[in-house]
Amino acid sequence: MSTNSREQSSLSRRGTTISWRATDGPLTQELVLKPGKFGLGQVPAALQPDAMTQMVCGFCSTGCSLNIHLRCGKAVNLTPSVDYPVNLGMACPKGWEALSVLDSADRGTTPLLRDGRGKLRPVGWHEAMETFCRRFQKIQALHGMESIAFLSTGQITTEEMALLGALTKFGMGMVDGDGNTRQCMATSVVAYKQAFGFDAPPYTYQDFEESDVIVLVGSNLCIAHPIMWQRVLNNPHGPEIIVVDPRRTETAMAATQHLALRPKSDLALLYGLANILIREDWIDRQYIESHTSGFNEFRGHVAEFAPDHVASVSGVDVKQLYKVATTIHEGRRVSFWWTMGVNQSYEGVRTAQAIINLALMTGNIGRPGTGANSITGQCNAMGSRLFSNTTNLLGGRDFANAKDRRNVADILSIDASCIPDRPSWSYNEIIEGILRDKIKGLWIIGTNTAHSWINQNTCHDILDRLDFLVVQDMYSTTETVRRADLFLPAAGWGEKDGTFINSERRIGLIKKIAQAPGQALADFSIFRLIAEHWGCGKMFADWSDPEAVFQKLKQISRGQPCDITGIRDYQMIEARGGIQWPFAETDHHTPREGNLENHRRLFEDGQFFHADGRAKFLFELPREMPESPNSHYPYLLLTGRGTAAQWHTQTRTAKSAVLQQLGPRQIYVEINPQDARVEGIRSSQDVIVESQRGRLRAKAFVTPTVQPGQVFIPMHYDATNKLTLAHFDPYSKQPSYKDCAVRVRCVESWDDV
Amino acid sequence: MQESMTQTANEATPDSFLSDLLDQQQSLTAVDRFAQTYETDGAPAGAKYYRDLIPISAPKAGQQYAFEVDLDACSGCKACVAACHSLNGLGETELWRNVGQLVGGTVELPVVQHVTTACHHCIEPACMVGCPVEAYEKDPITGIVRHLDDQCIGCEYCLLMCPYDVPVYSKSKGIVRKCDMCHQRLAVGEAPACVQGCPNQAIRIRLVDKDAVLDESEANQFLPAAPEPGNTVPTTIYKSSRPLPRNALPADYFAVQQAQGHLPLVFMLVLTQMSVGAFLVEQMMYSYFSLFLEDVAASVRPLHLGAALFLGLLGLAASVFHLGRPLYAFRALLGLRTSWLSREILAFGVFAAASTAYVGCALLDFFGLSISQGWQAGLGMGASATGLSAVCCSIMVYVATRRPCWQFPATSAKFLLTALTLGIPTTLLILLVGAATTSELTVHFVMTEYGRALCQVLLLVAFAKLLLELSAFLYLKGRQHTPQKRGALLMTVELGMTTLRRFFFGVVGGIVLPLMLAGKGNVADSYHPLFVGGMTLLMLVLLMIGELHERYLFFAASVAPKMPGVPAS
Repeated sequence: MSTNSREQSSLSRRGTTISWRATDGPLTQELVLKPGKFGLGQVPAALQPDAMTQMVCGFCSTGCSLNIHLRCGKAVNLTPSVDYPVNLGMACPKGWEALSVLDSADRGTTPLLRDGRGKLRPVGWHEAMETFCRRFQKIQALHGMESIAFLSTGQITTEEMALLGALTKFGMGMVDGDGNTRQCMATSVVAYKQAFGFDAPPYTYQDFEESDVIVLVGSNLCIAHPIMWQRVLNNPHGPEIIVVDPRRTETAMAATQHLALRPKSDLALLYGLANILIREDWIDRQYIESHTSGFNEFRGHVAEFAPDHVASVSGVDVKQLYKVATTIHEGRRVSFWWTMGVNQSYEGVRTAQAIINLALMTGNIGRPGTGANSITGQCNAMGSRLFSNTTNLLGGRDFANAKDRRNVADILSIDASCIPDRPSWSYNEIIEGILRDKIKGLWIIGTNTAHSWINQNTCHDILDRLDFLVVQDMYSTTETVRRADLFLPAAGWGEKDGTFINSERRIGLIKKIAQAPGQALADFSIFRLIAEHWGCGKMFADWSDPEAVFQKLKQISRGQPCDITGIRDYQMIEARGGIQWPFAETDHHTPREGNLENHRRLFEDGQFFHADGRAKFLFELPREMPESPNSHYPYLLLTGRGTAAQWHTQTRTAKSAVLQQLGPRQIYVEINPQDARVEGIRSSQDVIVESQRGRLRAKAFVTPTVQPGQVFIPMHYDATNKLTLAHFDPYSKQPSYKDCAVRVRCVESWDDV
Repeated sequence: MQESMTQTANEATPDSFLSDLLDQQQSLTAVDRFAQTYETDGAPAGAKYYRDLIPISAPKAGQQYAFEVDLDACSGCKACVAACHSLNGLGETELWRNVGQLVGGTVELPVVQHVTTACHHCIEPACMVGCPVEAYEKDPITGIVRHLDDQCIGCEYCLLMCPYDVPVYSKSKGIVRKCDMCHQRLAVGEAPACVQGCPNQAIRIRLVDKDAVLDESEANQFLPAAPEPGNTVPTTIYKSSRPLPRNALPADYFAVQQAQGHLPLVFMLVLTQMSVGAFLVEQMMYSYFSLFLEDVAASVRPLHLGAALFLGLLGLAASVFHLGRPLYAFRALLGLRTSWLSREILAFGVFAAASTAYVGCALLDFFGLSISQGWQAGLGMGASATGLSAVCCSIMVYVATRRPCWQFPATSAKFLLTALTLGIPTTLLILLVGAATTSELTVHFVMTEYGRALCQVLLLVAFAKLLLELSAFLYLKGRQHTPQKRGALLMTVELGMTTLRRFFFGVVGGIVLPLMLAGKGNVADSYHPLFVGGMTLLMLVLLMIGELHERYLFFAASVAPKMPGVPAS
């Protein structure tokens, strides 16, 4: 452009450092762009790659693919992949910043052991391993084999989860181990398992583009899953978008219909919609008769949920309820989606199933643009659901089933008696187990319990009762590491190989494109090292590298609904742009043209995984929330995602200077202008929010997007869970983070928080 | 949960298994295993997603490129910010784009609207107008406002000039940088990073007719709650199918954030004004005390003028510490045509020369070389006049930013009154020093002839200035959260201690001590001359500390206009 002549003329002046006018020079050169090759377009000259590879992102379960720009084998930059069937050339800020969070002074570079004076001091791996084994084995000798347990994560690779699950349960004699996935998608797992006969989200992201009605329940897609929202916006059919959410979220703003229901009236509202659909005969009788069971009982159940009653319970008026029912009825391809608003509830399983029921009774499943679809949280939540060997035996099997145990023992060539005959306790049961002195030693991997677990003050107290707490993490500064006796430094995403499985069941690769700092080791290597030191190395001799384990997982999946025996190897996953399960050897897959066409949905044949091939209608009467607002604590506290730039406990996202600037820096509480007036609170003022369990200080953000009587605090700040009430869904054991009573007041001079 | 640890004194040699694992961890294999499939060259693969988001042709005459933001599509994911950062290779904390939010509406229909914003590539860029070194240029064809990084001296004046808080200063580089609309990408038919990065296709580049933009700026059709477009005529188009509610406010509307204190500038302004004040007072003494010249001036003039000059030069030296790249300060006159900063620098240069000449002349006179009265008077007038004009340029430097808290009346009153507030006691002190060092003068004489009058004037000046500063707190009563009210809030809360100190020093130095010195029972009669001198020195020091505080608040409590931000920022 016009600058060419200027740049040329300034070149002649180069070398003279002092000049009146400098249109070029070292500072200008810093921002010069050069063609990136590899189809990348212009990139900063200093970061021009000499090679490129793709891998899936390591934050959320969307599972976007990222082009990693490499120089001498090392990642120098990244851009979203263009032809990947998930993200179509886009990423959210976390994806863009995925590399920068690896480079942080907080990274663990050596194991740390708490010394006699209570300080964590660096030790070598050898001493760390000796201590790990000695202390845990001593606890087992004193209190029994089941007195140690582990808490894992949805953020390590499937291969690592499988190795961890096998090592702890088959090699170390543990019975109890669970994942932080309990906090995000356990409800969906149980809901699907009970309704479909297997934990099987039926959809593919393409369904976002093919629906003419999209119903989002408790899901702020715009913020929590921006790339899925991209797919919604790609929908060429001008879909009706119905958002069910107490808050006026970004997604609610963009919806065509927003049902701003009262918190925890979702179950009644969904039954109310079913009531209208049945009343008006807007149901698919043929589908119900051929492919489902329990409809008649369900019909009787929802008869009680007449529109008037539901309107009074939910605060959504009858007209609006009818409008939604009509929209669902008139839609030819209606898809139902839910996220944490449903999952993190004390009656989440039944709520998720109420959504499934709507899809089943209107025949909106198994066809393009339909489905009852759970959007999960973490990058490898699905891997954990299938292969973490925690509450399910490997491959979605049952610990209590002798045949399943023998089957797995045969595949892995181990003694079936090594396999526990009961499923693990869930996360909350493990925490309670510590309180009841049943669990004396705990190994936490890749999760930040001390920040994220519900009712934090009690949780801290409970963790401190342990005889030995080991925390394995990328960062040595998390709230949980600070309470650990032993810290093991882990390599993170981008520093190891393996696979993740995303929300739509797509298996994707991650690769080693950066060197881990110091002596940090991939979780996979740490598990192998522990196996050696524990004395069960032989059992895992052929679990030599992630791809070898992947081959084992294929065998484990054989004949299961999640059969992946048709996937040859990592190269095939790479070449196809990820592969969705099931992908059995016996299936005849002719790869379709181009990666973008590479997607499939479940239940196209109407066959579900129950023995009778039918999906079940499941339902229950809604219950009152255990701690509704009262005269002492007049507000209901909602928690959830704050911004797209913050992830969970911010262990990683806080390490990026860019992401830090994109979200509010300090904890804040959203409060409605009416309530703010009553409490005498102005925006940006410091306030105290307290529940019966704890209190915190936050900046007030007065906004009408929360309803009167409710306040909202994002979950990313470490104090949020001081307020929350530990209560759980009885079936999924998932914590109910979004309902407890609090009060809000201005800060007084004597406040010490 | 502690148990005593037996420490292995010397760790066993790491077994080969561990060292194998550590070696494996450090070897990077992705290239060997997977890179072969990407041996592609050729066109950017992402072009298919952004092809429709950039114009097919270059701007015609009267047109330029502009960002267009579809507010309906902007859902607040902020991918544009991260994409801009990564694709431009910006510094770790450097952001060229930002996303804020507006909230409003009613309980029945609440509204939250995210707003992505970067440089607006204005038709009349204030950054360019203000830049003293012409480090900004508006491309004649594309209209892109580019910053020339190697030309920049890091004076940060553009940060004060831009109403949209766009330029970003980098301390380590010593320069400012800003969004260049990815002109290098546009030149080869690629979309800017933010356009490429938006999953919702909410940002595009389009051609705008400059005249149309000018017309629209008259009608204030930019973005509710954003700084008014009339000043710089921003070209970004915010379009929306749903009008924002009338009560829509930025999420950070009630947040008051302290601005930078700019210490070098604080010292520069106070010292130069003090210097000019001393020259001015000396000139006034000529006019009002006809005997002054013969009686006193000859003996203390060199000292007086020398001190004034020294203070001025000290102030000018302080300003250099403000620059990110002081080595290139010599470029600062390039912007004379438009920049008040250039003019200020020139004016102070002229003042330095004129006052040096005047001081030289006084010295020659002192050492007996007879210099004609006309010359002396002329040079004296010259020094004062150039000094005054330099202070006026200082005033204009801040007035030109059009910040509501730096409007002409308040700024000019503050700066001129500072000159007198410090010029008067400086003069008095020098006279007293003169009295102490020369035989012709006594402290008693100085105080009765000039001191009382000087103190009375000082009392008036200082009182007026403090009153003026106090009047800023009247804004606290306003309902609207105007920049002035935010400034007053800052001075009462975050900067409360500084404000208290400012008024303490101001009142003691500018009211209590002058009252004592100008009191009816002449101090010079009742107290030891040394005590009188000490009091005067104390008065000067307190006043100076007070003025430095005032000037710090001038910067730190100046709330800049900006685009909407995020809550709890």
